[in-house]
Amino acid sequence: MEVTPPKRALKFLRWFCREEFLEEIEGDLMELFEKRAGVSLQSARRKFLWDVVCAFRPINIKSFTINNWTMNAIQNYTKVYFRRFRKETTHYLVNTLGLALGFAVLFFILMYVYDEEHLDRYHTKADRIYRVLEKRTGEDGEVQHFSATSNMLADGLKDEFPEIEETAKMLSLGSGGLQYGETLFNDRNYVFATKSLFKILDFNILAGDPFQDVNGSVGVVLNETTAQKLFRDEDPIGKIVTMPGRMSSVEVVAVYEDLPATSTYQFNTVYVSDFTQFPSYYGNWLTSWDSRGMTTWALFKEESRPESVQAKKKAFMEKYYNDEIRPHHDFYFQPIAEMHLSSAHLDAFGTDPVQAVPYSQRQFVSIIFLIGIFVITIAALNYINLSSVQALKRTLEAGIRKVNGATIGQLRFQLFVETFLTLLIAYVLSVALLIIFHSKFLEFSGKDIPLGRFFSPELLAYHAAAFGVIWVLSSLIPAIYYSKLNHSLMLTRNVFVGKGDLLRKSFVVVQYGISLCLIIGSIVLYRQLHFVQTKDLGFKNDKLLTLDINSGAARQQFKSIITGLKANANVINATTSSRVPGEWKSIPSVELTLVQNENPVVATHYAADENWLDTYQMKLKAGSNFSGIAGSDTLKVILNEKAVELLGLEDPVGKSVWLSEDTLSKMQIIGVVKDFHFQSLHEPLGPVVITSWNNPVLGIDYFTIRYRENVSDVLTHIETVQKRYDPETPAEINFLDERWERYYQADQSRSYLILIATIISIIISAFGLFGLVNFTVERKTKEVGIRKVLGASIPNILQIILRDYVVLLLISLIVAAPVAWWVLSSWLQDFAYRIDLSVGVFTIAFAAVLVVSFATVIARVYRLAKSNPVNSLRYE
Amino acid sequence: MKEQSLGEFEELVLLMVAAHHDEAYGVLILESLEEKLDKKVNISAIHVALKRLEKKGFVNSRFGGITTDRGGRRKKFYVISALGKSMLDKQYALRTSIYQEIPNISFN
Repeated sequence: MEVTPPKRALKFLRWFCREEFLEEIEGDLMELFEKRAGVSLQSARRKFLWDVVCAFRPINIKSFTINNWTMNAIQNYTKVYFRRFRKETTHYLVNTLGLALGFAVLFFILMYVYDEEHLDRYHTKADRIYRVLEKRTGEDGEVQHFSATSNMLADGLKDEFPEIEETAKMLSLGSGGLQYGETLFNDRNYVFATKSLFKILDFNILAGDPFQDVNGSVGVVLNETTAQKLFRDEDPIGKIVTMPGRMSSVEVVAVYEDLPATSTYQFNTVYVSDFTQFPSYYGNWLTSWDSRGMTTWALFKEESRPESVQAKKKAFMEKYYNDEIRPHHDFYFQPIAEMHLSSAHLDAFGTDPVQAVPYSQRQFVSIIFLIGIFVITIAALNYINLSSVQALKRTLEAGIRKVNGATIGQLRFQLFVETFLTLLIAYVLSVALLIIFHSKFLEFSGKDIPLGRFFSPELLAYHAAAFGVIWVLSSLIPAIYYSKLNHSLMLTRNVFVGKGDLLRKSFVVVQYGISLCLIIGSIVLYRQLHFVQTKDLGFKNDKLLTLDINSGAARQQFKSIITGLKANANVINATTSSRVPGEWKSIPSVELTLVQNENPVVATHYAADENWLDTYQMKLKAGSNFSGIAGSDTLKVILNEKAVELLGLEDPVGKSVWLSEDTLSKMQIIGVVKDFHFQSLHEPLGPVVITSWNNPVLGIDYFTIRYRENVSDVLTHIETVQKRYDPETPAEINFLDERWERYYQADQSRSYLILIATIISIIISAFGLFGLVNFTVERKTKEVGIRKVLGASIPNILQIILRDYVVLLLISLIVAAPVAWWVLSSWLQDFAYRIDLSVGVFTIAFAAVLVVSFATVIARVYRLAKSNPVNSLRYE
Repeated sequence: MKEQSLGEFEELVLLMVAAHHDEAYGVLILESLEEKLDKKVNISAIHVALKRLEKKGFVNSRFGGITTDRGGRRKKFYVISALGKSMLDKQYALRTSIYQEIPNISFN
């Protein structure tokens, strides 16, 4: 048998043992082994192994920090990096700041996108909760989608489909309020809902029990804030509150913690009801399948999918919808997590609960995400460009390292380490920026995200991913340049090889292309928003207040209320109407025909009194206003120009027109009002018919007050008048222009985000340009000296250096313009009233980039151009 | 300079190096020590002691010639230095002088 010690043990010994001790130790161990092997090989091997283990002690272990090249290299690379940082401060600062800004923008945007994508996902059963949506096909074939479904749908779904574990329905009825003793306030943010809502959605019940039985009457569940507001320090459970105008004596059954900011709906109050307690005139509507009102929730059983319900839908439809109504109804399921980003197709309806977070669009989230990628790309390209020119300058260093035996791999690795350090510093700076600008971000984005969530594990994972990708991508090119420098030039100092010029230039083109796109985008966005906000609406929407009519008392005494309202020096005029322009509830429409049932024109229907036109400062084009005498106005209408045009009337005043809603009535046209906008300018202007307040089909719902000045005085006055005629209901007053702003709020916050990202992208691009020009200036120092000696003037020299860059900018413009044009025109398509995309916009964008970029470099170039040629000739 | 110290085990190893003048190396020291002490000693303990002694300047070392034994590894021989010898003398003198001061104690 062969007498050898255990191979692995020996190998291990040789690996860890210090070179200078190995000979002795190994020798002694071998000698001992040989001696012992004479007795028993088995035990000798065992003892050898034990001896090796005993020898594995600090004094014998070689210093891996000294002999292992990786450890050593990282220390050395770091040292060299910081030395260069001190030497080439401009270069490194520009690089690092650019990346830090890029990171900060990216991280803000990631947070925004993450938040948008995660709305409503906090429910524990989120993957099984669906909202049921209604697809309604009108008589004329027009398809509309609503979140307001048939009122019986929830009951039907639960009865018929075993896949569905639970359903719930909820309903909002517009204005509402709460009263407890002396405390009384308005709150539109409530729902009537079945108890099962608490089984489907997550509510953190703090006190009481929402499922508790209150003898068949309605119970109310409050959120913490509302309970606090209503009861201060008292215990809310069991207290009796009133919902003015709707419900008297409702018992508080539970209090829940305010729903998180990541919830689309944030009910302040949930009235728990099985809808049998409603006044009898609701009865038919609440039990009708041909109705539209309830928001319906469905909780599917584990492993069940809505597809199986969809497949069995036909029989269901036939069972519950009679032949007459069935063609108009259809429903489908929307996962709760999709609610925020996939609801843009829904039409608003009066019974929709208030959304705490308005719907957004996936398209916009993608755009914002793309912008984040753009900005970080610009920063990364900067880094690549600046580091590759730096790498080319480091010939001497690369040479020395190579002479000392560094491999190409090691040189590349060095650049990877350096990029890592730069990114690390940039990351730390960006975290500081996140903290500093956190509150500004919340303001612009309209979100409520605590700072801690920016550093949640998931977000940190995204940070790490972004960091990693940028690290690898932006190290690669500089590393290749650095490691492949021409060997023969290696040991010469400051030789510059013009390698990679084309690549660098194309990077500059890409950077500026992106910046230009973003600038053009921001300008167009801003102009369009300015346009829609200042466009002549056909009436004046400032200095108008609306007061909701929420009770029969107010409705009956409206004339006295108007007289009361007018009795204040600051009130110019007051009127009543069924709806107001800028309305959030749907505005009823009516069919207009000249001859009965022929070529109907669907027009928006307003009912108003004789003060309406004056209060809104709308202009009559022809004919006259309502007389104000009840009897004579009943069958009179005023049309807008659009309606006249669609009806094809030449001389409309005095003509008759048929109005068909539920009933058919023949009306006389007494006037034509100039077109006015009553909806967001996303929508085209439509035909309008105004009937008198005492028309047979439409009741009044609002007062509108035009005031002169001193709003607070006017507001107090309105409240006093309201109290006088309707002491039960709290006054619900709104500024009309604020309602109009809601139409553009989403656009507004988007435009802010985009504008800021754009400004930062220009800054980062300018950083990059500065770095490149700085480098060019260094390189051309001697050239400039020679030119000056030969008689070149300062402008000549500026021109020589800047010419190249102007050309690059022009190329970027040529590349960027069509892209921007295409994207923006499709966005503008969304507006019925829009600005034109003019050449001017592109010129402004180009000029902006030119000015910002050159302003940053001109000082540097000018200093060179002005310098004494004697000094520049001595350079190097 | 700090007074050089000598641990108990180190002292034994140093004595053994001195005893096997010019012939002392790891395995020999180990075997003699085991014999004298009548207990098992691990070789690496000897190595560590030798390293320390060498660092303190009490022993000098040299490599022997290559043989076919020991896997072709050379022996490392240790010789006591003058400093080492004087250290041993001092220790011996110290111990003897104290020992002589012990009165006659009877243990019965």
